[in-house]
Amino acid sequence: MVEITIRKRQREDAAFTQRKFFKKTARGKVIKVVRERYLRDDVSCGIEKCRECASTLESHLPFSGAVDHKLFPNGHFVLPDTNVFLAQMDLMESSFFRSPIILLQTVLEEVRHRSLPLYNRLKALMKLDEKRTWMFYNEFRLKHNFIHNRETAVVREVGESPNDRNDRAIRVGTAWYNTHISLTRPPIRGRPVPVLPTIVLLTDDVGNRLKAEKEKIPCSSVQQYYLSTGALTAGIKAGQLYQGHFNANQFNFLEGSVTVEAYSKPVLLIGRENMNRAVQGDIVTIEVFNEQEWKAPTDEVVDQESTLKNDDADESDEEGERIVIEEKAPRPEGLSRPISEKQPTGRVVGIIKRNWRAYVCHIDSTSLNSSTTTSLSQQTVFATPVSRLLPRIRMRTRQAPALLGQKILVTIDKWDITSRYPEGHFVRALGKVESKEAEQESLLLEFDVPYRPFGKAILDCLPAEGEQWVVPPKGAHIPAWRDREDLRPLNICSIDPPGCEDIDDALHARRLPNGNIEAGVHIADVSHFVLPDNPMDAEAAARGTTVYLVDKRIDMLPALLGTNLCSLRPFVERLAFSVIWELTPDAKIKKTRFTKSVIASKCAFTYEEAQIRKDDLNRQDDLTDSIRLLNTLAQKLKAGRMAAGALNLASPEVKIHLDSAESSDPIDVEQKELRETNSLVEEFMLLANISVAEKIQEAFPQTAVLRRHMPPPKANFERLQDILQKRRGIPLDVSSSGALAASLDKCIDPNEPAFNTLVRIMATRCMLSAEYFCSGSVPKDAFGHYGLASPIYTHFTSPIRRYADVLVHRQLAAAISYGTLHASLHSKTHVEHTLDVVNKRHRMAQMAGRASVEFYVGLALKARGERSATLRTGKVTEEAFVIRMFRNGINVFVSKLGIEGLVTFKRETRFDANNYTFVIPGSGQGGEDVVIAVFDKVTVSIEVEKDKNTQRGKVKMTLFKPIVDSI
Amino acid sequence: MMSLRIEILNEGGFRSDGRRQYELREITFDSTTQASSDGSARVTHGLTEVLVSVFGPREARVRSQTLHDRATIHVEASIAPLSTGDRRRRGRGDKRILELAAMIKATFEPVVQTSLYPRSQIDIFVQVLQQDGGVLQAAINATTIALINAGVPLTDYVCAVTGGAHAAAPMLDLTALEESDLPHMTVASMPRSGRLTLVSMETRLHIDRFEEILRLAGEAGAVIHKEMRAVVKERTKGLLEGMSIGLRVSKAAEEDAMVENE
Amino acid sequence: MRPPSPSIAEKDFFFNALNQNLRLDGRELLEPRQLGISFGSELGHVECSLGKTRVLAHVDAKMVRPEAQRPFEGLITIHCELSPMAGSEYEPGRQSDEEIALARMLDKIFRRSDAIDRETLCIIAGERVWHLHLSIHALADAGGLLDCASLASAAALRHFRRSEVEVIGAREVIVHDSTTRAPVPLAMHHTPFCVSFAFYSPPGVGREPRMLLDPAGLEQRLAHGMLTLALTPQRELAVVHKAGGLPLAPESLMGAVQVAARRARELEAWLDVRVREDWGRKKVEVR
Repeated sequence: MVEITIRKRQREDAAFTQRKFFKKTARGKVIKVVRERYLRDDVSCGIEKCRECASTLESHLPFSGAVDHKLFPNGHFVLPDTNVFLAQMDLMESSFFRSPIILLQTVLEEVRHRSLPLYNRLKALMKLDEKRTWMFYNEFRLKHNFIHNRETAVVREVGESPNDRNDRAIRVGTAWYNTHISLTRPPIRGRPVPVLPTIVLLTDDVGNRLKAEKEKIPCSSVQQYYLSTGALTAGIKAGQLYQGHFNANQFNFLEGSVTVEAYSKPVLLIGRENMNRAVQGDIVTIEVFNEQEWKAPTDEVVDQESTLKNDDADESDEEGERIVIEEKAPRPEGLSRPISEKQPTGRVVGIIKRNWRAYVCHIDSTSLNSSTTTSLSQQTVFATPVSRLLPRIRMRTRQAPALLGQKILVTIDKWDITSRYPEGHFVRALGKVESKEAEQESLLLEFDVPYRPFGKAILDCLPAEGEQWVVPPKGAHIPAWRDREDLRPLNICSIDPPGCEDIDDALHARRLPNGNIEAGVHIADVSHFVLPDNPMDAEAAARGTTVYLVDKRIDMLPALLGTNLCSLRPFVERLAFSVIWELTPDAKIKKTRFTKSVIASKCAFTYEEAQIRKDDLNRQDDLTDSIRLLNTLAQKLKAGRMAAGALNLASPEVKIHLDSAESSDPIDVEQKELRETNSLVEEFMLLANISVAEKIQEAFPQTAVLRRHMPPPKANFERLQDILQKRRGIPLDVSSSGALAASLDKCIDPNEPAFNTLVRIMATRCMLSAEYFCSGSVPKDAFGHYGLASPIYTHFTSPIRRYADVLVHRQLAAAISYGTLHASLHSKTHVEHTLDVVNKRHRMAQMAGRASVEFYVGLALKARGERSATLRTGKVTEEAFVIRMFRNGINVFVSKLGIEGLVTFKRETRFDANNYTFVIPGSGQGGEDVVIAVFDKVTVSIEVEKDKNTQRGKVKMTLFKPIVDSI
Repeated sequence: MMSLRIEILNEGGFRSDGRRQYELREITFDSTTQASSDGSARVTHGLTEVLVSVFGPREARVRSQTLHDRATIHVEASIAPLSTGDRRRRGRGDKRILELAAMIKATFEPVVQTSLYPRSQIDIFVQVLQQDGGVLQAAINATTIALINAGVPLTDYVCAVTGGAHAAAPMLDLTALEESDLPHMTVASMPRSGRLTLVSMETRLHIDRFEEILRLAGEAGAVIHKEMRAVVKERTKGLLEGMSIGLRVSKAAEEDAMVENE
Repeated sequence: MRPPSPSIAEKDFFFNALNQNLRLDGRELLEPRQLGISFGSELGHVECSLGKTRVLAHVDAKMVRPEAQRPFEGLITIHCELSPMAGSEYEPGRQSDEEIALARMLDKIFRRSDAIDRETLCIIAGERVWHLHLSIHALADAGGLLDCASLASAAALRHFRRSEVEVIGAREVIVHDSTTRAPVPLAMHHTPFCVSFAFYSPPGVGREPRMLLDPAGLEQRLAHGMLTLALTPQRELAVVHKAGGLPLAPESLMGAVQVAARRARELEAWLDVRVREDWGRKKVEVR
């Protein structure tokens, strides 16, 4: 039974009980707001055993406060004012500050108004047991005393600013406390005079201190820290304007860059002002400063989350009184940096095109006002995007409490000049963080992978027979058979990874009477089903490629085509597009022809099965013979390519076994399989691609869809070359792909077998990526594919999962006069535009695939960590190699898991940029200095921790060997 | 101006205006306002202020709308333009106003003993002078007092209160700030039987919490009832005194007249 | 024209039957009428029937500028029409009291209770949002019009899908045709279902008032008190409306709430099956 009472008020309290003020609404109207206040006398002072304030709460302040302070031998309590918390929250939180704290309601409310994150920290502080804090509600306190009518509730006087009023309330509160103590511990006759502790007002405000001293209130100041404010680079000297895509630096949120053709290195944009509200992916106009102003890129990691964590979502940026948290990344101005390190530096003067879209974010819980789930009021909060390249987004929503802990989609609407953060709005929620569905969907959204189901119009483009469709029987008037060769009798077979359903390609080979060998590659005839200008084609062009995640596949074409009608399944007839060569036994091409065909695959092998079949000497049938022929030819083709300078770069493939039980490790890192049959398929696909490229280039010199790989600029290799030279004394010749291949072969460390792979991996990162291009847009000498060492190349062999291949099919068909080329493929601009989209989707698909793997690796690591915690086998540790150095940390690569991690050092280190070493003084076994250099093998302990703000499982690595880096 | 971020219920158990959860705001009843009506009452709950005037029972103005066996009740409501912080004129046909009037009518129709006045009409005018949450609650309470002052026979008092669900604990008598932040309901009860005559909720709330607050609001109705009874007693005492003075005066005048006549 | 008050004979018959726990159409006291639903060819066009009461609901969406005070939210308007087709008491052209009451209740149930996530209807904040328009037409009124209308509305909102929109560079908006890109269902926080009860004074002193679920025409007119509850299948009450009428003890009220909670779950299951069936038939999307 609760007691329900009516709160009565005496009339004369009217001035205290109503607060009138004016408020400006969002629309700009000014309205008058009246609020009531009820004063009461049951507000407790919080000191234990106090005679008057009977209180049942446990956390009392000790009777005499803290007795160990020099200035206050009789004991004291600290009453800090607002600025102490705003400016020196770290000090208050640290374990050095142990005095009991009296927190006035006025102070708490002021902190709340000024900075919500600091307010949250203050609340957390109050809850700690070792800190003895008591919340005193001075705004509600009314006390009638027989001698004086003294209240702590304070009313603003005429001409007094709100700040002054608050300061006065704080002083009144302190005075009240001191009086209260003396009144509740009166001297009793016959007993010794009680020793009274003091309540001390802690404030840095000199004015406040003066007033307090005048009113005889004990007070003190805190040691001031010096906060340097950032000085931004300024000065607009002569400069030309350039245009390019803005790229954020994922390690340092205050730096970005734009690649322009005029300079060999990207132009740096340092500092918030110079970045001028550009967002990753926007097309911007930049102005480059004079050469004296050029800087070197930062080598420090500056994390957006930790640096900006005290920023408040609701604040406008005109607030003058706010304490600015340090945000400048220190520039190594004074230190000698080689001139070559400096890069052109500039600033953004205008934004040409915003490439904003919906981003996957989490709500930043420290920016939340009311976290009760029943709150219906609108709040302004921060949404932190999952991608490190994007700034935090400010948004208003009424569902903030419900959205905490979920991944949400937020889109940016605008970024005002006066605003520190872009503004956006809520689009939809994806689901709880770390639930598989939400993470999967979030991944697809982050990389802008179109994954919506196909619409009805697209399904109408499929053949009406659906699953029942078959190649119609041969006949002169059947359109499907027009100009198609009947290759059904040939011993065609397909070789693919296990579990493959969308079989793009099949091969065959047979001896010819003249001693040569006929070999053929047959590709699914997708362009027969996907006609230009129909909705299915438009959708496929927009998707660009099939996306492979660990647990899901987003198809470019409806499954009916991909896994059935186009797929070259065995034992059924299928339409195909064939490339047939006549080769000498030495694998030299004598003749090439292209034709549309109908095939009937005799068998679908996995790589392993084909290998076994080939090696099985008991088998002597035609099909096996065909495989053996292909194999021999492939070996010769490969040898020829290597001689021409093809590169063999390594990338470890991390394979996730989804269905493995908890007990065994789901992650397995496999090197690419190097069976002969793998190489067989690879060589012939390459050969087909090259032959087709030559043909369509010849037929359509202006608009052929080709693929190239530009040679990497020497500058990209500079650092790697330098490191290899300085640390291992091995030169890296990058003059040509052949020279590079040869150099890489020589990068061996007899003590460390993984060294060669590591160098190959680092070399891969220096490469540019391959891209599709339109032959008419680029001079012929830029057609080449550096990695494959081929003067011309295209993609022809996987039309089911790549859109560019579909275009190539169309062009090839026209080239062999199978049909006319659609008008769009005659237009250079159209082809360029389409390939732009395809290139972008391709990149995104790769990143999505990698992110999916990383997610599962994270899960597996977490499981491993939990297992080792329960089994007490110690931390999870792995070997890693150092691949990059920063001023305050190193980047390591864990080869076993295929992941990278950043290890930052908290203790003193000496960083030698020139020699790529880190010296950690006095941390070795015997107190000697420990030196870590690039390429060194170290051991790191890995744990997955959940960042409480972003809700991401972050892989955290700390150095385990040679030293244990304690925090 | 910095935006205000008020905590609905802070850790000390205090609400934004200094009350605790189960404390109701100050209630005042003022019966002396309108001389022209048959009965009127001005009620405040904290800063919310509603004035109700009752006319009747009297002859119906529109014959066709009368009922042969009982009186009809008409309710009209209006909201003063300055009742919230900004001056906003609300037309007569505003949905919220119509809803308020309809609720009051539906609430009092079974409570007023209409069968005593066939073919008559009782008019109730509700004016909201100031809004700070709990408008319906104040209107119902004011109507009860106004009807009593007008001498209209009721089967029982109708006492209304608002209740809301904060994550930590239920709360009573919500201000406008609290109403915009929490799910809440208005409950009107008849204290003699303890039964509920009006229950109105428009925000989402789980059934279990709903039950909790429903019962609480019913109990709060009893507290308000006590206040109302005290007020009515005061007024009746005042009236009686006035009447007895009048009686003495008239008796004295009669005696004088008798003396004169003699 | 107001329907004539029930005659004394009807009244007596009804109450006599009620005293013996019998209803005029033979149902149990807490038994609802038969449900029926049929979908139109467009998504969001639904006709619902509850016994003999029939209601048509239609949802469509268009893009408009948002309100200045709420630039992040879409708009929802609900429009009701009770034409004479529904019953002779409704006059054409004039808004009757019942129409107003119906519109108000539906507004409370679907709009004020935040059933539809309005923030997801935002396309470009401050410039373009979706404006959903729900229109209700009563085709036949045999009592329980509100329950039927709310079921039809819930079905229409569930059934409806809006075109997919793409925003380029924060300026341009492209609306995709629903055949090329599969249309998108509305994001609903919860689906409320409306359940009505009629109460009658107890036959004798000290007894409890009687309660009927889903009152039909005459039962509604003779009721001493009405209680309308809108709740979600997750046991949350969205709207409680008991305006005057027979006073109830809190226990009776809670009893009705529990009955309504069970009914809401039944309705949800039933509706889910029907809507999915129709989507399958229409082949709205293919995965």
